[in-house]
Amino acid sequence: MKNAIFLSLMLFAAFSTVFAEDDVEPVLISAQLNESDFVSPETLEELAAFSLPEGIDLRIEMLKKEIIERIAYGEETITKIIELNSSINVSSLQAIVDELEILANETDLIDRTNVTSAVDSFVSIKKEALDLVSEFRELVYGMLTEEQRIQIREQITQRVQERIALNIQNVTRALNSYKNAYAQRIMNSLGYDNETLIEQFALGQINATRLKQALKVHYDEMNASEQLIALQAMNQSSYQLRQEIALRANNTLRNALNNSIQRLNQRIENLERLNLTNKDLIEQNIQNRIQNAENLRNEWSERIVSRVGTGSRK
Amino acid sequence: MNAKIIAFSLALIAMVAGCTSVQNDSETDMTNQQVIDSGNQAIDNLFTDYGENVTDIDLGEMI
Repeated sequence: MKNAIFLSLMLFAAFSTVFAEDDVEPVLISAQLNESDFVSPETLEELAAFSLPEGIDLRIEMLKKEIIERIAYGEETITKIIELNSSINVSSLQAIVDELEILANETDLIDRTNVTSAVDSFVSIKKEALDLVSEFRELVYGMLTEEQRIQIREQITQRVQERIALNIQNVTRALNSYKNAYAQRIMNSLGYDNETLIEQFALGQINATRLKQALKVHYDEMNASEQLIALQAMNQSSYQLRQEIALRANNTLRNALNNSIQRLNQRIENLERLNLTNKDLIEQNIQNRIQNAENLRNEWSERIVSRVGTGSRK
Repeated sequence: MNAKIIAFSLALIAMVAGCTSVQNDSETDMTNQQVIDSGNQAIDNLFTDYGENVTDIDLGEMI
């Protein structure tokens, strides 16, 4: 019997070694993608949640909330700038806010049932939002002093928070669902059924550290064969998750760039139907972004060709 | 004489068996501890893989 257990453990150790070697892959891929400055390390971390449908909902709701918050800040800022000096031309600022509005609507169009498509849309919309926010901020820095900016920010923050209250609720609800779903998955791997613990974690009554402690106590109390079965199941889940994340990261840049170019071209077509005062300015901004995305895509393709040409896998 | 040889043989077998048993127990104990450590690590890993600390998305400041 002891020999059988020992043999199982040896086999398991060999199996675990295979997993351990594969764990290196996502790190290398993320480092590779950082070069492009299109998919940041933070974005790659955010993609971990896309392993579950509840995680996709969460990340999209979070992105939408962030964009709507920036729209609110943008509109309130423009109002304050006009109050300070009505002769300042705010059309460029308004064009950026209008585009953020279109972007927020596009988050509603993301196909949440298709992981690949959801990842590509999430990455490209987030990148566009980051660029728009950065452009807005640079313009504002040229119009206002630091003192004025601090003063305006203090005046409008409360109002902005009121405007996004509903989005905050949506994010909280999505976060609870996601925590519930992934805690359920982990406990299934352990063969542990405790709905109360899951609910407490999902509602934020206990944090991840506390839940981990409870799971470890449960695991320690299992007998040897139960522990081996649970260990194998957990390592398998972990391995699959990491493989998925690595694959996702590897495909993300190229797909997200294509997604971005496609959405931007579609947006130019849709501009005609929108009731906006500064369509020409918005269209010019979008054309510039299409050009940047195409340049980046070409640069990326050349880099891939160069890597393949030298026979390097990475 | 035969009885003495048999008794000695039995004692020897018992001693070897005892030593083997101690050795096996020690291996099992050590491996059990490894299984416990690996299990605890696997729990930590799964939380990390699912993104245990779900942080807000940061798009930067507008103003």
